[in-house]
Amino acid sequence: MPLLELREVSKYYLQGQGLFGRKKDVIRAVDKVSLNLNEGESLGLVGESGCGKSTLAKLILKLERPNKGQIIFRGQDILSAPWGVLYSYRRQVQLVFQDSFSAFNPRMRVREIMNEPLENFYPGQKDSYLKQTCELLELVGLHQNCLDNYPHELSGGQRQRLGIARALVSQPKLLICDEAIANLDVSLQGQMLTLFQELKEKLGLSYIFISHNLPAVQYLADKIAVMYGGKIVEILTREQLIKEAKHPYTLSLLDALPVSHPRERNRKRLLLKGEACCSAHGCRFHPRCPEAQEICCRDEPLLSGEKDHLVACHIIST
Amino acid sequence: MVLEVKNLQTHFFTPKGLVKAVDKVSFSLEPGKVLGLVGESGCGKSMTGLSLLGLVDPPGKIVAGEILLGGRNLLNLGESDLERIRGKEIAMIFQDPLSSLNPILTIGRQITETILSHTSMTKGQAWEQGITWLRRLGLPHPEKRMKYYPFQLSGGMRQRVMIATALALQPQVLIADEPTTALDLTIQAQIIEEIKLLQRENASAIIFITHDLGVVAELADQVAVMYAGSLVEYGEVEQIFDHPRHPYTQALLNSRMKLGEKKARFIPGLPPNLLNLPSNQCAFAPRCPKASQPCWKKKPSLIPVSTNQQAACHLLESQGRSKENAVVGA
Repeated sequence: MPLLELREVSKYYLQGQGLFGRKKDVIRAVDKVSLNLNEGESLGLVGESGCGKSTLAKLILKLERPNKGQIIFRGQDILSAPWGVLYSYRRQVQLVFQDSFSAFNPRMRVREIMNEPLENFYPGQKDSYLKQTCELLELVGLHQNCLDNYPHELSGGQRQRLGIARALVSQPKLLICDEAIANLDVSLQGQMLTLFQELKEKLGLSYIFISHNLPAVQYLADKIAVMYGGKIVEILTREQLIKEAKHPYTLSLLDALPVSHPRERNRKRLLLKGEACCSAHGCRFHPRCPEAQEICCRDEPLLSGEKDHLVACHIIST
Repeated sequence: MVLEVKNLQTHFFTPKGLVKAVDKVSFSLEPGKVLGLVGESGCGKSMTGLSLLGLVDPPGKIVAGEILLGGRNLLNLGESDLERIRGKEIAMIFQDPLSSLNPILTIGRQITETILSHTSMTKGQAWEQGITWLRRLGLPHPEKRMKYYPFQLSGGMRQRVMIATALALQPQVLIADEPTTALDLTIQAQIIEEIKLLQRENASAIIFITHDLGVVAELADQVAVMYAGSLVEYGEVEQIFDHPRHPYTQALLNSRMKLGEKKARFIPGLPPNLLNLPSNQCAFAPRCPKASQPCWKKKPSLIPVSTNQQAACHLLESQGRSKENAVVGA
């Protein structure tokens, strides 16, 4: 049984309030997304801003309610689940935020920040809070000296570690990291990735790692889902990403990575034109796709392929 | 040489003590060349950019040095002279375009305002000029976009507006402070291509401030690596990538994540706090894998390590000295 299963999950937003019957536009932020995540497995979600990756995370966290579809966690549909099931679900699924500065109350000390979820999840066990806090801080590589510091006294990397420590209080099974390393320096990104990897091994955590940093996702995730315009256009394993990526969008993302040596700077690029926009008809990507043909404007491609490598593209599958 | 910075020192006199945000930084820039200024956050790279424009706010102050732009020392000029030069001869693009554009004015108004304040163009000409620049930067339908407000544009478009505003006056020196860091990879790639093209056509000199060595590899002709307020290595881009000599540069190059990497490498520890930083040791010594006795006793200064390449490291000093005579222009 997979840890988490999404079945054709969709979230639509209406744009423009329809006063006096004015026409409203439907924005398909997440459109019929199906995914499986096994226990201990990590999923990387990549795509440009606005492609729906953060909305998908909100749906999984039940911060937003999908218009259609099912979200099944350990065999239970959490959308129709009673309160008790939800309580344990929220314990098992936690979130690490992108902006570690706004993720904390600036007037709370580290000790108080950690006490909040402890009081929530372990009420009446006040004596053990300090011990638990210290253990968690040590786990994420923070020194106990910072217990009485305010968030602004910590560096960006330390705050991000604190964010992880706080998320680990409830002993989650699944950690959703929404651009958790995007605001950090290159040298710190490596430190954080190593920490994520260590925690995965020590605690058997699963991750949903949302990022536009392909090398980082590829390092941490067992499988990678590429999103465009609210749809998953390709799912593949980390090994396949480098050599066997097929979808034109995945290829252009890989191509947009900066070169690693100045000598390579004059290579030819597949440069994508325009910004992330999606078409209402046919394949979402066809207005920007270098390979688009007539069928791409007409029919919407479906995910197809072998078990661990699915692509949604007319050109590839024919 | 369009810009020459000599021994620039910007210090902050905070209640807690002295912060040497920019400490004896020297570099020079030729027309049409791109200098990549790299380092971790808090190393003083943005403050170097702001110092060049004379935009250091108290308690910060430029305490020493020279900034020679076309032969004039900017530090000797008054505020009114600086205002004439800022934007026209030396301009800056900031990381976050949303907070540097005025939210209640159309972008057309903001671009024309900049043009009008420095030239004798009419309003209509300035408007046309604005459209031309937006088009050159690849913004679709520039005529229509001129009437938009910043919130109606996406991050990539806003950054293009910023670049267009900065380039419209064709400054001799453009300082770009992490202009692509907040953008998607695909948009970053587009903007890099456009900057390359513009720089070839306009022969503007660009100082590109970034922590992303990939962007440096794409754009820069020269690289200056900064650590704790000082330059630790400075040289031609190929040399820095092929033969980095300073342990910090080596560590930075090593810590880049590449596709297919099985191990995440990083520089252990954190950059030092610049507040009351001891000046009698190498600032990188606590994180340096090769630190030895002399590193804790004296701060190293930049020495030539090969043609067109300098590094500040005690370990290179013995080698450097023997080569010194052979190096031209050192």
